[in-house]
Parts: sequence; C-alpha cells; structure tokens
Amino acid sequence: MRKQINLQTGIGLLIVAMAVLCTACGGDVQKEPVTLVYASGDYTRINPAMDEHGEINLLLFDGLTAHDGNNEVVPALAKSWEFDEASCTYTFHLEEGVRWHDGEPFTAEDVKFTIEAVMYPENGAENAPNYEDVQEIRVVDEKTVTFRLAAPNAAFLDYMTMPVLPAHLLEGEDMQESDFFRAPVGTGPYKLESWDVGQSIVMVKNEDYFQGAPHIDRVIFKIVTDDNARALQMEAKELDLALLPPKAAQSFAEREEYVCYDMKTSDYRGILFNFHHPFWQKNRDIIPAVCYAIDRQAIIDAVLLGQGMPAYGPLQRNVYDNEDVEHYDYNPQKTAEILEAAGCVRGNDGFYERDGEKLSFVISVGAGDQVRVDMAQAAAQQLGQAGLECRVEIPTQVDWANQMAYLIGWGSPFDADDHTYKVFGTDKGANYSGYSNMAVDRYLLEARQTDDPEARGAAYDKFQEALAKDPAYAFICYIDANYVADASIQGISPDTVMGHHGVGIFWNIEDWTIDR
Amino acid sequence: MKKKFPGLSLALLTIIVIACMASELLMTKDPAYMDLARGDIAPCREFLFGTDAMGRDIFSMIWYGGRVSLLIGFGATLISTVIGILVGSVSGYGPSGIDGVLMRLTDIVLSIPGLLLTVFLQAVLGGADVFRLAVVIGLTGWMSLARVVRTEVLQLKNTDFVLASKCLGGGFFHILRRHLAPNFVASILFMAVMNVRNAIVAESTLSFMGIGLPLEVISWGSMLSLSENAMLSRSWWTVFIPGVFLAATLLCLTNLGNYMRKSISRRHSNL
Repeated sequence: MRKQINLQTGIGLLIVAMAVLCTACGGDVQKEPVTLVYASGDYTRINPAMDEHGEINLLLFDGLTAHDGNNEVVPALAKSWEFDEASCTYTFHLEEGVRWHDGEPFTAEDVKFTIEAVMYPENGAENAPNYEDVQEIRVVDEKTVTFRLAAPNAAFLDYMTMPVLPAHLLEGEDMQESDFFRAPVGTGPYKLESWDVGQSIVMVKNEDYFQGAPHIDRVIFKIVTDDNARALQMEAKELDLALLPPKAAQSFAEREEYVCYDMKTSDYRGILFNFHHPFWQKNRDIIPAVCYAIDRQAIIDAVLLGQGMPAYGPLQRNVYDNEDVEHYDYNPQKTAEILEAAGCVRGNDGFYERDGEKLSFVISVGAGDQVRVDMAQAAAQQLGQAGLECRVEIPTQVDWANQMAYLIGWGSPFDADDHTYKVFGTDKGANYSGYSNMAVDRYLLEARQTDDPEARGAAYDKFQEALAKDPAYAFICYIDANYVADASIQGISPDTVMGHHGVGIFWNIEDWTIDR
Repeated sequence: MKKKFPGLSLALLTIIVIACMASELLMTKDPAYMDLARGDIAPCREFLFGTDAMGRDIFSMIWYGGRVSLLIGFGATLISTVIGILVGSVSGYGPSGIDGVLMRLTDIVLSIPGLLLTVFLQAVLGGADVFRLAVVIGLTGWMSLARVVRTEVLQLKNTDFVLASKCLGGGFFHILRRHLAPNFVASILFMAVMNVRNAIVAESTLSFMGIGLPLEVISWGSMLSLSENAMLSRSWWTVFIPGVFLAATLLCLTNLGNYMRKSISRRHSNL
C-alpha cells in the first residue's frame, strides 16, 4: 500500500514537473526570435547599383517596381505610373510614408540619384546599358518623378526594379568604394544588423516595412561558399535553406525533414569564345563545328543528373523564344564536314589542322564551381573526340582580355531585353566576349524600342536567328536551381523561374513563415 | 634491439612501383576517358575499382596516377638531395664565413612554413606541370638534409685521408665524391627516403587544394581531390581506393626509412 502511494505521488510529481517544463519551453519558444539561416556566397560589398546578381538586395532594398511570382512587373516603391507616348515619358507616383532603415523619409530625389549613379559612365556599372535611353530624370515633387527616354524601351519598367539607394547617405560618395556598401541602408523588408566579414550577415525584420512587416524575425546569410560544406551543414541543421549542386541535393530528396525545390531557371551555361583572341579572329568560321561537337544531353545526365535542359539560345525560358533556329544538336559528322569545308586536315594525332596549325584551344573556368569544371571537362573530351583539341584550365583570376574561351553563365527570367542587349550588343557593358554582329545589334535595338508584343516577337525571332547563324557562345544547357530547405519553412513559391545563379528565391520573403 | 628487416614493406613498395611504371600493361581503360553515362559505378567486374563521378575508371587511374605521384616523389627527392649535399658539404668544408652565410640561409628558409613556401615558389614559376611541381617541392625540402651533411663533413674534413687527398692536390668535388660522400651517404639515406614520402604528401596536398597539377593530369592527390564529393554521393570507393594506395606507399617508405635509421645508429654506436 505504502509503495503504491509512493508510486502514485511519484507519477503525479513527474507529470507536474513535465507540465512546468513544457510551459517553460513554450514560453521560451515564443520569446526566441524566429531565424532563417541561408547559405550565401561571400560578399565584399553590397552594392546593387554596380553589381548584379546579389541575392541579398531583395531583402534590404526595393525598386520602384518589382517582379511577382510569374516574373511580371508589379508596383513596389512606385504605387502607380503613367506613360506618355508623345514625349516618351514615364511618370512614377511614389508610395507615401516610406522610410529608410535609418528613419529618413524616402523621396523622389533618391530615385533620381540612384539611376543617375548607375548611368554615370565613370562609375562603370554592369547595368548601365539598361538605362542608356534615359535622357532626363526630373523630380516633380517629393513623391513624383519622371523619366524622359530618347526612344521607347519596352523593358524599362523591368529595369525600374533597380534597388533605390538613399541619396542622403551617398551624395558625394565614391559609388565603388564608399563605406555605405559595407553598412547598407535600404527600404526593404529586412535591415542590416551586423556583418561579420567572411562569416555572416545578420538582418532583422523591418517592422515599418511599407508592404507590411515580414513574419520571420531574423534572416542570417551565413557565408558558406563551398558546396560540400553547405551540404554537410544542411545535414547538421546549421542551415535552413541552401542552393546545392544536383548531386548533393539528391541526398536530401525523400527525407521528411527537408523539402527539395528543383526550380527552373533562365540560367544557361555555354562556352564563351573570346573574339579579341587571335585564334578566334582567324577561326571564327569553325565555331558552328564546335557547337555540333557537344553532346548536351550526355553532359546534363552526367553532371546535372538530368536536372537541366539542352540549350540553343539565350531566350529559351522567355515568351519570345524562337524554337525554329538551328539547335546544333550533337552531330560529329557535321563537325567534320564544316572543318573539312573550311580547309582543315585531320592530322596523325586525330586533331584537325588549319594551315599547318593545330586547332587547339583552352577553356578557362572560374575557381570554385565544380559543376562548371565538370561541364568544361566533359565538353573538352567531346571536342577532342570530334578532332578539336581542347584543354580545361582553372586560372586563379579570370583574364577576360587574353583568355581563349570561358565557361560562361548568364540568363534573366525577366524581360527578353535583360541579359541580351548588354551581353550580345557590340561594346555593351556585359559583352565580355568582344562579340559584334550588326544584325544582332539592329534586332536587339528594334525589339527594345517597341512595346508592341508582335513587333517585339518578330525582332527577337530575327535576333535569335542571327545569333544562331553566327554563334557568340556554344550553348550547353539550362540548369535547374536545386534549393534544399528545412521542411518547416512555408511560403517558397516552387514555380517561379529563377535567375542567374538561382537568384530570386527571396522575392516574397515577407510572406514566408517558419513553424517549428 | 635489433630491428627486423621490413621485407613485406619492401616487397609491397616494389610491386606498387613496378605496377605503376608498367601501367600501360595493366590499364583496362583510358584513364582520362570520361564515360559520362556510367559515372559512380561501384567496383564490379568491368570496373575493378569502380568509376568516379565523371565515369573514369579508377583501376586504370590508380596505376597511371601513381606513376605521376611516384615520379614527383623521386624527382623532388633527387633535387632536394643534390641541393642538400652541395649546401651541406660546402658549408662544412669551406671557410667559416661561407659556413655562416649558408647556415643562416638554411635557417631562414627553414623558418618559413613549408606549404607557404611551396605555394609562393609555384606562383613564381608559373603554371604547374609534373616537372615544375617536382622542382618546387625539391626546392623546399633540402634544409634538414643540408644540416646533417654539414655535421658529417665537419667531422670528416680533419680526418687523415681527407687531409692527405688535399695535400696531393685533390679538388673540392674530387674530395666530395671520393672521400666525403661515401662516408656520409649512409646517414642521409634515411632522410632521402623520408623526402620521397614528404614529396608525395606535398603533391597530394597541393593537388587536393586545387593548386597542384592541372586538371587533366591524374595523380593520387588529384584523385582524392576530385572525390571530395564522394562523402555525399556515398560512392566510398572514389576516396577509399586512392587513399589506400597512398597510405600503403607512405607506410612502406616510412618502414624502410625507420629501418635504415635504426641500423645506422646501431653501427655508429659500435664505433
């Protein structure tokens, strides 16, 4: 009897204790801020005016416009706008009551300052060609700003997604070197709390965000550049969200604690030929032979485990894609025909020679991206089998001016003008290959200067034909972005087409929640 | 205590060396060929040691890559031994001024961390190939050897036979070759063997860090570096097999080196 009482008391005590503990836990969970840890590449600065593809820009800054889940333009800092065709002028009406993270009010002056900074040639912004039609930016009043263009630009509203920077902090500063870019202040849903260089960037939610405060209290960009380290840290639950190479992402599929988002991207890979190099100046006519020698599906299957799509042009994820251009599907027979027609002779070592010189080139690959290294090696082997000697090199620093070829990646999920005009246009800001083709230039300009979808479609069709006839790159494939997330994260939109380097997943971060 | 002659180590090492040198006869595939459709295959009858992520046959790569690793190991040792003997004997034999300069130089080089010095030298020499890597590793591994040689030469240079040879007009290199070298070679043999081991390790380290040999050159180190993804894809053989070969070779070399050291010190104590 005594014993039983003891047992009962014991159980009773245990239950009480557990109840106390549980409430204690519950209390703690409520108090503890909800944090999302994301595996980020390293940042030396956060400078949306000068640098492209920074995922962090979406958290700290806003543009006048934004892209929604379908990559359509929607209002952001500008609540509405009008376009006057006669004067080719856009008038933007800005949101009322928006404040910078430091409490200063956001005004039309900030907009004018930012776009002028991007346009100013000496700042050397990669995005400058996007705004080359802008003639005049006028501040009408605090909440109204107008842009007068030299010619219509159908992609202009897309380019107004450019993050707006605070004029009151940057006026008179050096747009490349200013300390602002290590302590940025924006209007975005998150504000910078601390930045431990090379380690992590901590951001806390902006309670006064003009589109409503986000749900997740803190977002930490943990700097983990190595793919393997990312996968291991994901495994150890030190990360909540990471972009992984397909081979690593595969090991998280079919596990309850994780969700894999295999997202489509507009991010393509290809071999860039450096037309400044004497080898290509002499042998530009054999580039189609290079294109025919690449077995794209084999590369996708081996390197990307099938998570990609063979590429023939830069607009395959765009509404203006032209499927009828030459795809250069794998055909070593054609490679041989083109080379022999160009007067090349196959030497004893199996490689073609032209005027006694072996056709041989080197593909450079940026360090640290194993997927690109693997692709380049596979392509080099295929080229070798087709009779073109090709080696892969990983230089410590990319030498854009003197290298022979490079494994390039580009692609924008937005308007077709983005990543075409500045990449393939003669002497434009991101034309790293020195590519120049008058027809390409003409059609790109034509498509930019009309907003009639049909006329644009026709111009982009012709652009793609011209580019396919005289390839700037040997396109290889589009790669999927393999995001692995903790299963407790809700709100990621799996169908949004991501941009270059899988950028764009945070477009709706303010709607995300974590329920642990 | 008498140490047993490491016959097993010597036999194993000999087999590995001969097999690598005769890799053409053993290889069943082209070691550089990427069979893209058949990546990450576990060891089977066709691919005895499996394939790596890009579909290369590991069995063929082992022998072919071993040749590069061993070549760098022995090449670098040759270079470091020659430098070590020259610096050490000039330092020990020459006037005290030169001795001081050379020994301080040795101290300075010795005080720089080895890996840093290797990376630095490699940057100076430009791109890496087997020959240059051997030179770089050789240039960073001669210091301890030079010191031992100097100590030996200091003792030997006042012996009667060296003095006699000097009086008869023997030049420095004649004395070095005929009288000094035969007497100190035993004491540096152990260090030379260890240098082979160190050079193989250095090559693997550099290749593993991605600053060693260019991509298309296969060595045990580069195989290990390419297989760093293996832990995640669970293809253990891509790490395990080159690792075993590397470890076995190093273990054999260490055993041999230790045996030589023991037998030399025994002989000295008998004097």
